Amino acid sequence: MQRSVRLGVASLGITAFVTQVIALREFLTLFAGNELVIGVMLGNWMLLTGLGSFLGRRPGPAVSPVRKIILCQAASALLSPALLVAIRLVKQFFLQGIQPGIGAATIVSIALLAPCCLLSGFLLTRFGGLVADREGAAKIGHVFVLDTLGYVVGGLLFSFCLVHYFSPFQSLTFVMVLSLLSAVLLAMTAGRPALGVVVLAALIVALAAFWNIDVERLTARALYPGQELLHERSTPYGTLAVTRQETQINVYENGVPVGSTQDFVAAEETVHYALAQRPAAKHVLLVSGALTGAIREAAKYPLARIDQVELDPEVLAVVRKISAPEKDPRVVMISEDARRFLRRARGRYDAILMDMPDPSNAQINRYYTAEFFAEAKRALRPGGALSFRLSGSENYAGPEMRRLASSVYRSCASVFKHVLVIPGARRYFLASDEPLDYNIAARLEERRIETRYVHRSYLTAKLTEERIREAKESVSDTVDLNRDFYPTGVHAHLRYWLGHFGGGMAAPGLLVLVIGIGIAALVRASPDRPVSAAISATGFAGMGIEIVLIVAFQICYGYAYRQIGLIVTAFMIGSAAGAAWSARRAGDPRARLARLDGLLAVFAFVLAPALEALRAVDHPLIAAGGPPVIFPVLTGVTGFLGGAQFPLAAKATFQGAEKTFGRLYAVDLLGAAFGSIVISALLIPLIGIAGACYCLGGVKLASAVALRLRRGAPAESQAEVVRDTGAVAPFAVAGFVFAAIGLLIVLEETAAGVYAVSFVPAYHWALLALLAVGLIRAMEFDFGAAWRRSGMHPMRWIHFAAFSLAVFYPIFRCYFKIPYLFCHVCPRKCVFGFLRPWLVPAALIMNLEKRHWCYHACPIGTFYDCQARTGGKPARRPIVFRVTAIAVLIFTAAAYFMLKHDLAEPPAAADWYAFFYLNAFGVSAAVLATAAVLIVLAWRLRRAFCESLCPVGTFSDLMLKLDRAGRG
Amino acid sequence: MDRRKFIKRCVMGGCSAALGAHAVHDFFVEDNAGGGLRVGFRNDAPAELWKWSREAAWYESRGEMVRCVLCPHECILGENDRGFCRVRVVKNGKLHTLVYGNPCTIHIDPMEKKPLYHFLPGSAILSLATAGCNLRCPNCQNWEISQAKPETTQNMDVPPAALVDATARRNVGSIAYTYSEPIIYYEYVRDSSALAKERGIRNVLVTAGFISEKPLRELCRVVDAATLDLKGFNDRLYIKLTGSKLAPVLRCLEVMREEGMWIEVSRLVVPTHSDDIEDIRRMCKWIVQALGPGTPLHFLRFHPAHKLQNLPPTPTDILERARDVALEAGLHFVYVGNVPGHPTQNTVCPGCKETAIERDGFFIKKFLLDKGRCACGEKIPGVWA
Repeated sequence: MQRSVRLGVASLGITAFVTQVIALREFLTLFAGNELVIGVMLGNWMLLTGLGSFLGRRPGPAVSPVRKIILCQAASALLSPALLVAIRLVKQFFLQGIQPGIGAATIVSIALLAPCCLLSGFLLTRFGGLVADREGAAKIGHVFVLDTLGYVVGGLLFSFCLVHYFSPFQSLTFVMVLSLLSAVLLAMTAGRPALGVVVLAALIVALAAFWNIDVERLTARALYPGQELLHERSTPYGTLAVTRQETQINVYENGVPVGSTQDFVAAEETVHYALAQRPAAKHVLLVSGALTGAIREAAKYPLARIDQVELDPEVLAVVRKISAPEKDPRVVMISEDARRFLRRARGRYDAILMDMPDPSNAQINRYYTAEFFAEAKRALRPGGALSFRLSGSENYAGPEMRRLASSVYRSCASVFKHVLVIPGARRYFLASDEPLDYNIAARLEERRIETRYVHRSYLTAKLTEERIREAKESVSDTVDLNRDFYPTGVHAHLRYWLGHFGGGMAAPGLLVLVIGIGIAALVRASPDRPVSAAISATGFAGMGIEIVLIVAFQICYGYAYRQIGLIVTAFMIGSAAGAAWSARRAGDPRARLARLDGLLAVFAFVLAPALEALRAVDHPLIAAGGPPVIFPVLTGVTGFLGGAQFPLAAKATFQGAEKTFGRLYAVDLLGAAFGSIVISALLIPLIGIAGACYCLGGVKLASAVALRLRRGAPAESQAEVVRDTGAVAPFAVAGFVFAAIGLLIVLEETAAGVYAVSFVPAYHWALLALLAVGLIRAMEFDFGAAWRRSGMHPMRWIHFAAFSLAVFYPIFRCYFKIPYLFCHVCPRKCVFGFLRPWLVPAALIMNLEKRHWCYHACPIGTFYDCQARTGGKPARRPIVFRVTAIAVLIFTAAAYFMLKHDLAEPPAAADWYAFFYLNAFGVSAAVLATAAVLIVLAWRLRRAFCESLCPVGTFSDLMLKLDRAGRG
Repeated sequence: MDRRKFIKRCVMGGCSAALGAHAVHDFFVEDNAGGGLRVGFRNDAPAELWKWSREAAWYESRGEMVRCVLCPHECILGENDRGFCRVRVVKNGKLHTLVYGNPCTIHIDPMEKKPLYHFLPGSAILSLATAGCNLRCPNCQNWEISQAKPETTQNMDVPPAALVDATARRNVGSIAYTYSEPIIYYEYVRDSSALAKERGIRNVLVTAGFISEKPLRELCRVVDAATLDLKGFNDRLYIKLTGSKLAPVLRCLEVMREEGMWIEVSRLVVPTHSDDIEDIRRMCKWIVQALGPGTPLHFLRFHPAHKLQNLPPTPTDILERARDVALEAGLHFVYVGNVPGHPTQNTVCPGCKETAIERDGFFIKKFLLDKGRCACGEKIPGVWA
C-alpha cells in the first residue's frame, strides 16, 4: 500500500501542476494578461491550496480513513476538467466582450478555483498521515519530496509534450485518468476493492462521455458568441482562435481580437507612417503585427526583403492560411523571440516596424525599454527608422497615460536623435537618427502608394498643429526611463489599466491583507513562531527569486517556452533534492534553518550584481550556456535552499504528521501567494530587479536573525497552543472583516460606494429586525436543550456580519475627532449615527439582565473574544481603565445633553465642541492609532475598548451593579 | 422568576416589538425622501466650490433633499452628495454645477467628424468638452473625460465669452459641444450658445440625448443642430450598454424636430449587442415616421475601446446590410462611417440618383449642390450655409 500512497502523492503533484498551468492560461483568456492579474490568479491558487491543506489537518496521530481519501482523490481528479469547462462557461455571465476589472477577476477566480484547490490541499495533508514507512517528522519531508517530484514530472510532461500535441481539455483528461487510476490502485492495495471498482466505473463513464462529446470544441465555441469558430489552437504562447462573422475573419489571441481581414487601419498605421519617410528603404523588419495584415501594406513598397518575425509559429501558420495565397518571394517569416533575433541582426534593416501590444507584463515590456531601443538602433542601418505604438486617446490624455507615454518616449529619446509622436487613439512613435516629419500624406501621394486611412483625407484632421503640439506635450512628463531591469513601464501601464475601472487596487489590496492576516494567525498559533515565520518568508523569497530569475532570463535570452519550463522545473528539482538531502541529516534543526536562511539571503544579495553582469557581458559562452546551464542552476540552487528548510521546520515543530504538514504547507503557500501578487506587479517595477533582490535577501536575513534571537517556546505551553490552534480561524475571519471594512471606508475610490451601500433601506430594516431578535434572545426563554444549543454561535456571527459595517464605520471615518459621541448633532450622519437612536437604547436594554449585547451581538465584542481565544492568560483590569471608562461616560452624557442643535453651521471657535469638529468625513490617524493600540493591548488585557472606553459597556456595568446591590 | 426579572423581560419584549413594528412600517411605507439609496455619489462633493461652479439650472428642493431634473435619472441628492453625472453637487441646500467654463479639451475638427454631413459641410468646427457624463457606456472612446470627475482632469479656464471670442478669432463658424456629454455641462452650453448665436456662430450638440424635456426645449432655442447617438432600439440594450433608457432619447429626438433643429442620427453597430437587423429595421421605421425620411442616418463601425476590448470590429457586411434595410425603410441618406474609403460616404440625390456630394474621409471632393438643390431640382435637406 505504501507504494500506492507514494504514487498517490506524486499523481496529486502532477495533477496540481498541469491543472494550475492550464487554468491560469484560461483565466488569462477571460481577463487581461497583465502582471497583476497573473499574480492574483497564481496567488489565489496558492492561497486556496494552502487553506485546503490547513483544513486537512487534525490533532493527534490518528490515521485518516483510507476510504475518505480515495473518494476525495477521485473527486479531485474529476474536478480538473470540470474547472476548465467552468472557466470557459463563466464568460456567459459577463457582458459580452467586456474585459473584467481586477475586482471581478479576483472574486471569480477564487470562486472557481475554490473546490479544486481546497480539495487538492486537503488531500495532500491527509496523504501525509497515511505514510507509514517513515516516522515522525520524516513523514513530512517524505511527502514534500514526493509532491514536489510530482510537480517536476507534471512540469516536464506539460512543457515538452502536452502543450504541443494535446488540447487543454485532452491534457486535463489525461491527468484525470492518471489520478483516477492511482486512486483505484490505492483502493485495491488498501483492502477496499469495492471502492476501487466504483472509481474505475466512474473513470470509464467519464472517458466515454468525453469521447462522445467534443467538450473542447463546445466550450471554445461558447467563448466567441456570434462568431463561427473556424480554428482553435492552444499553443505554448497562448490560445489562438480564428473565427468568421459574415465575410470577416477575425483572429483572437488569448480572447482578445488582434486582427481582422476587414480592418486595415492598424496595418496601415504600423507600416506607412515610418516607411513613407524612408524612400530608399530596401530591407524592412516587421515585428509582430502579421495578423493585422501589415505584410500586405509593406508589400506596396519596392522593397528587396520583408522579414516578419513572430514569436508563436502557430500565428505564422494562421497568417499563411487566411491571407491571400500569392506567395511574395520577398517575404520571409521567422518564428523566434524578436529581441533575440534583433541582437543577431547588426546594421541590417532600413526600417523596423513594430506592432506589439501595450507593456502590460515584463515579457512585453522588454520591447519598450531603453536597452531595447539601443539594440534596435544597432540592428538598423544608419538613419533607419523605428516605429512602435502605445495606447492613446484621440482627445485627452489622462495622467496615467501621460506617465506611460512619457516614460517610453524618454527611453526612446535617450537613444535616437529624433522621436516623433503621432496623435490618435493609437499613438505611434517614430524614431530615427535622421530627421522625420509629419508630411506623410504628401510622401505617399508622391510615391503613389494606395492607402485608405493613412491618407490626406484623414491625416489632415489627425495631424493638425494643435494635436501635434498636444501629443508632444503629453510625453513631456518627467519620469524615470523604462529599463530592462527597472521596468517602470509595467507599473505605469498597470495604473493606466486600473484607471479604466473604479476601485483601483482595492481588491488585490484586500487579498494581500487576507493573506497577511492568515500568515500572522498561523505563525502566532504555531508552537515555534520564528520557524513558521521563516518558512513563510522562504515561500515569499523563493517565489520572488524565481520570478526575478525568469524575468532576467527573458531579458537576456528572450522568451522561449521550453526554456522557461526548464527553469521552473529546475526550481522544483532543486526543491525536492534539498528536502531529500536535509531530511537525512542530523543536527539541531533550528540552527540549520537559520544557516540556510542566511545562505539564501547571501544568494539573493549576490544575485543582483550577478544578473547585471550576465546582461552586460557579451560572451559566446554565456550566450550558449545561459539557457541550458546558468539559469537552471540558479533556480535549482534557490529551490534547494528553500526546499531543504521544510523538513527542518517539520522536525522543529512536530505535532503529528497531518497537523504539522497542514500548518507548514499552508504558511509556505501563503508566503508564496503574497509574493506572487506583490513581486511582479509592484516590487520589481517600483524598485527594479536589483532592488527586489536586496529586498528579498533582507527578508531572509530578518528571519535568520529572528531564529537566532528567539529560542523555541517552552514545553508547558505546547498543550495550550495545541488547544489554541482551533481559535485561529475565527480570529482571522474577524480580523479580515474589520480590516476589509476599514480599507474600503478609508480608500478614496471605494469610500463613496460603501457610504451608499450603508444607506440601502434594506440594510437598516435588517439591522432593526436583528436588534428585535436580539432583544427576544436576551429575554432568555428556555425552550429546551435544542434551543440552547442552536442559538449562540450562529446568531453571534450573524450579528457580527450585519452590524460590523455600521459599528466599525465611525472608527475609520467620522465628522468628529472622537467617534460615536456626537452623532445626534452630526450634520452628515453615517450609518451608525443614523441608527444610533435605535441601536444604543436596544443595546442598553439587552444588557439589563446580563451583558447580552456586549457578548452576543456587538461586533467589537465578538472581535475581541476571538482575539482572546488565541492569546494567553489575561491580566487584571487596571484601575486606570475604570477611571477612563467613567470619564468617557460622563463626557458622553454631557455631549448628549448639552449639545442640542444640529451642527449645520460649523461651531464658533469659542464653543467647547469646536475642537472635535472636523467639518468633513475625515480619516483620523489618532482614532486609528488608538484602535490599533487597543487591539494590541487586548492580547494582555481582555476587551480593552469595552472595559476602558465604551459608554454602553460602562453604563450597563453600572446598571448591573445597581441591580445586584438592589437585590441585596 | 421574580418580579424584577419579569419587569426586565417586559421591557425587553416591549422594545423588541417596537423595533419590529418600526422596521415593518418602514418597509411598507418606503418613503423615498427618508433614508435610502439614490442614483449618485453620496457625500462626495468637494470641500469647497471652485470658481467654475454656478448654481445649477433645473432642480427642485424637497425639504432637506434636492432633486435634479436635468436628465431622466432625476437624482435625489442630500447635502454634499454628487449626482450620477459626476458634475453636480449639493452645497448649502442648493445644486451646483462644477463645470461652468472649464473644458478639459478643445480642438478644431472637420465637421464631417461629428458626424454631420448635411450641416455646413467642409467647414471647421471648434469642439470642446468638460469632464462628466450621465451614461456609463463600457465602450466609451472618451472615457478618460466622460467617466472622470472634473477635479481629476486638467481643465482650461474658458468662460463662455472667451470661448466665443476664441472661435471668432480663428475664423471658425461653429462650436460643437461634444466628446463627453454636453447635457451635463448644460449651463455652459446654454450660455455659450446664446453668446455665439448673437455673433452668428452656429452651435452643435453631439449627444446621447438622455435629457428631460423642459431643459431640452430651452436649449433648443440657442442650439442649431445636433447629431444624436441612438445606440439601439430596445430598452434592454440601453440599460446594458449605457445605464440609461430608450424612451427619453426618442422623446429628445421628437422635441428637437419640433423645435426646428437640424438633426442627424448615428448608430454605432456593436457586434452581438446592437447588430440585430430587426432592431435596426424598427429603428429606421421610427426615424422615417417621427423625423422624416430626409434625416441622415450614419451606421458607424465599432472598434474596441475602454472596457469592451474583446469584441472584433463590426464586419462591413453588417453595416452594408443595415444601410440596405434603412434605405428600404424609406430613409434617403444613409452613410456607413468609420470605414475609411467606403463608397457610401457620398450623398446621393434621391431624385436623380446622381452623386450630389462626394466625400473622401473628412474632405469634400465634389460639391454639386446649388443653394441646397441638386442639379435635377430636388431639394436636399440640410443646412448648407
